Amino acid sequence: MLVDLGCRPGQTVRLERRGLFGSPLYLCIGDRRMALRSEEARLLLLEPLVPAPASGDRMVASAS
Amino acid sequence: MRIALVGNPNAGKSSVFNRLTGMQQKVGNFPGVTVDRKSGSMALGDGTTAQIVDLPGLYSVYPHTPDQAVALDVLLAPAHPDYPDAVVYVADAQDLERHLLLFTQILDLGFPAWLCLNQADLAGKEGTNFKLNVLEKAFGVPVFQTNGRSGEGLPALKQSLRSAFGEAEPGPHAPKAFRPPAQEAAALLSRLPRTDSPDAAYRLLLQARHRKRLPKLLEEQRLVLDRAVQDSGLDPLDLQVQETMARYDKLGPILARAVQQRGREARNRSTQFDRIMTHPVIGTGIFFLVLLLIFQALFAWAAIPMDAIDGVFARLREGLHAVLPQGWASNLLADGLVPGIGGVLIFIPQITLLFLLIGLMEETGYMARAVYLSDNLMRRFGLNGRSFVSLISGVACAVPAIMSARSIHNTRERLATIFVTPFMPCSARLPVYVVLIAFAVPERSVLGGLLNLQGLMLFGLYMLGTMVALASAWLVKRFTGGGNGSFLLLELPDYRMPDWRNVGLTVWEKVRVFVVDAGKIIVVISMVLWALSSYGPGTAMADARAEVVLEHPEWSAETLAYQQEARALRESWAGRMGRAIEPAIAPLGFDWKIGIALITSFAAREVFVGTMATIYGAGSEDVSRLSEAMARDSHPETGQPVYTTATAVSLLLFYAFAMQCMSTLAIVRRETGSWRIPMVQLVYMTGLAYLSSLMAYQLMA
Repeated sequence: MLVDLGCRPGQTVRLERRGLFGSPLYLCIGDRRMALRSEEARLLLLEPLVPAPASGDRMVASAS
Repeated sequence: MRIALVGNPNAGKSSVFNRLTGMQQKVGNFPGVTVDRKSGSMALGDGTTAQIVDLPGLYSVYPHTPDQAVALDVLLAPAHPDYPDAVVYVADAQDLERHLLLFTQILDLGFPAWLCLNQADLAGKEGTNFKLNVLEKAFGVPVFQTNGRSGEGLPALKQSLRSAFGEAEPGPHAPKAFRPPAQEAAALLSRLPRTDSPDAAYRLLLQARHRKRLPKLLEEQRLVLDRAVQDSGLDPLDLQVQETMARYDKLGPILARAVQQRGREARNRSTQFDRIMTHPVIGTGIFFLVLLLIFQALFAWAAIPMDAIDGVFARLREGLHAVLPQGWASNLLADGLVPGIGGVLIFIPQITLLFLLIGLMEETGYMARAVYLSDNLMRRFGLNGRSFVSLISGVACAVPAIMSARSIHNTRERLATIFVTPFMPCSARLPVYVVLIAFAVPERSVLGGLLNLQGLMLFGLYMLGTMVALASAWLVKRFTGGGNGSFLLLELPDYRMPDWRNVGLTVWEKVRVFVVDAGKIIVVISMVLWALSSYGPGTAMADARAEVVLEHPEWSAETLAYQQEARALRESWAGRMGRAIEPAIAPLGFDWKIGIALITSFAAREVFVGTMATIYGAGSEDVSRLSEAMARDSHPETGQPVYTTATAVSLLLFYAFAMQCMSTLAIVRRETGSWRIPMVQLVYMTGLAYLSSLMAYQLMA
């Protein structure tokens, strides 16, 4: 289903924010904004592009 | 000539549809299913008209929801009554790559097509330019830059449609094929009925993939497709992913040549704005403020036009009594018909405001944020963030709200949403709440005049309905072992200014449906009630009037007249019906007069106010007169007031929980395909209403 919405392998994934109790996740995939529950987001295979920060939510990765 | 309007959700299809068809629209259902079907006509210039059908939004020819499956069914079945001769495809120019995926699939189905790059002007403002000739050459169809909101580009589209359909064969079309290499599907195709047409082959593949979800497919076709899929051993999901990726691979080079993209300022601005609007604490706070604003608007802002309508109908009723000669016909007109119509029209301001605010939430993109913010809460009760849209729509009316549950992918979550949505305090409960709150709660400002006590009580009732809906959903989850297969996949669109024309048309349609559909029931029941409460068997009513004079000659003329009418009402047909159920409802604090209202409002709960107004001769448009009449009423034997705070609370709880809407039961039957869920709803909701009213009254009295 994600591919129908324009999310494809190789795109950059950025975690923008988490919901009130950690879910859903607000993700920027390519130039799209998507909300996914953490269970679904775990199914994405990601390759980190920048080191994960020591604190905070933001993380940038590439979907594969 | 039939033209289908096709595109992704949020592409601006509705704006284009409204522009093409103007006010020449009809809202109905697709045959055999309860999916909204919007159609309209567009003049082609030579005296003929084209029918435009607005299909539910699709992301691809692989539907995820029942309404998307209906759209696909229309496109795949030439025998379907809505099967189009051509397609106008609306793509959001700001996100062309994703929106063109479905367009290439539509081309491969062999439809003559017109491509609209909608909102191209907005993309242009951010420095994005489109080379239309490159797109036209690549796709082999006419391409237009349009804006459904301003109407820009649509005259050229209309002109192109007119010239094309004036010809024997539609258009200067030579649609290019985007079919992915067939080898992946060769195993399946070899087992399907042989066809030489590539369009027909693609259609067959899609029919095989979706054979279980296409209602228009014949049973024998379904069996052939079933066997072919099983024999080929093909993984349908694999096939879908391969096809989708192949299409994106073909689109990439075309868009690289046709689109010069610079900034994504609107997108970046929206993402920045979301840092506040979706913040777990600040965003949730804003969300609750928005809800509070809606409820205060319904109670406070709507009061001004409601008072105006109130005054008009009160004067009309008095004027009719003064002008017309006394008799049953003038009484029917002044006390039956006019109060009945007034009881319908009085709620137009509230319904207008509610749909205006919900429409604005949808148009601005805030509704998607509301889904995001509420998903975590909803899933704890076995629902989904998308259930929130149904529940919030249920505040207006359960019927469209239940229909909107089609966008929920998971069947169990969808059924749970349908089951609990009628608990949401719909607009039909509002009149009952208004009358009983006006009776039981003093009109006083609190928090330094910031809030109104009656408004707060109303807010409390809305919260109660919501909490009971969630608690019931949790019970459903517990008893059905819910949780499996639940997911949320939500796109958060850019924030944008609302299209007032769209919002206006939506509000107009909702108000029209309320006035025509609910209004008919209310007016008819009001008149029937007038007859039932004006007449009784033989001379029973006249005897009752005479008895009052004989028993209490000492009473003043005013008291005498009031008590005579009360006693006569007791002997009327309506009074006899109410008295028949009195033993069952007496423990709730209800007398036979309330019993009449309970019977009549079983079909539609908003009839309660009209019934009470008819019984008390107050005129349903006059809430304060009705409250005063209710406050004056006393038990003939004990002299105790009939309506106390305990009675009002008991009634409020009964109306908050009871299933008193035939339309809701009917729509649940249609959406779930059987009477099982509506019957369980009826027993569960009415049982809960009875028990909670019983407990409240017994504790408070």
